[in-house]
Amino acid sequence: MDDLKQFLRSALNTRIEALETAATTMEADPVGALGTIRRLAHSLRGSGATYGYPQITEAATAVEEAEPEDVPPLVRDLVKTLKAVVLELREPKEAKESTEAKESTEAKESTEAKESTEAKESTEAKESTEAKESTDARASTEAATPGSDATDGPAPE
Amino acid sequence: MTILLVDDDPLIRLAAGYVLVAAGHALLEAEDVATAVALARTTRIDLMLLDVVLDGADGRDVVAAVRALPGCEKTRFAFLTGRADAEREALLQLGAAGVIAKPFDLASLASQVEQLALQ
Repeated sequence: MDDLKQFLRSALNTRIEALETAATTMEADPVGALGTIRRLAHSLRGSGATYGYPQITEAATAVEEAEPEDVPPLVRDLVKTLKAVVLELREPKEAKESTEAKESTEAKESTEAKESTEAKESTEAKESTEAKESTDARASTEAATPGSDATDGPAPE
Repeated sequence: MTILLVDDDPLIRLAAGYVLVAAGHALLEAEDVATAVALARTTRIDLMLLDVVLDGADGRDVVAAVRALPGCEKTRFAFLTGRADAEREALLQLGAAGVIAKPFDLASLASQVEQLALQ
């Protein structure tokens, strides 16, 4: 049903825009504007409750059945209702995106922290190895040096 | 089964179409009489699901036009209407298999349609 709801959100946005445009032409072209508004309201009246939003059906019914002079404020109410539904339809997705973004950031931070720790451990291990090798090499050098106490063999004459 | 859904409201076509397809039915959609007739010419329709009030026409016009086609004389049909209480008897007298009230329940629409097709 998620894709159906996303389509509904897009369709409602289109109708909000159409209602707002028609409302702005009420003075210049009252007959045309009222016709457009009533057609949109009729469609929303029929489909609102089908999608599970009876408040759309209720607000659209008020517009469709209103006297012309009462239409403008009722259109504003209908647009407000539609915008609230659009927001409701948007929230779960945005909440999901927000959660995903947070999880992604946390995962990234965790990875970076792990990589940092590993890099540090690696550096320490390398330094430790190098230090050991250095010590071994030094010991070896000292062992090979004449007069060293570590020399097992006879001292060259 | 193959259902021809005729409604001039894209929101209704989408909602009804969504659940009917999800229930496993083949769906054809039309927003007017001409499109409905063109689809019925080329595809065998098991049930027409018709909005009563179309833009500039009537679901009853679709019934008459489709049933006039060769081989479509007995195509079954049912109506969707926002005035079910007032119109039900008249629509049933036309031979409709049933009348589904708008707003319809998406969760049960497919089973309602299937029952109508069996009558």
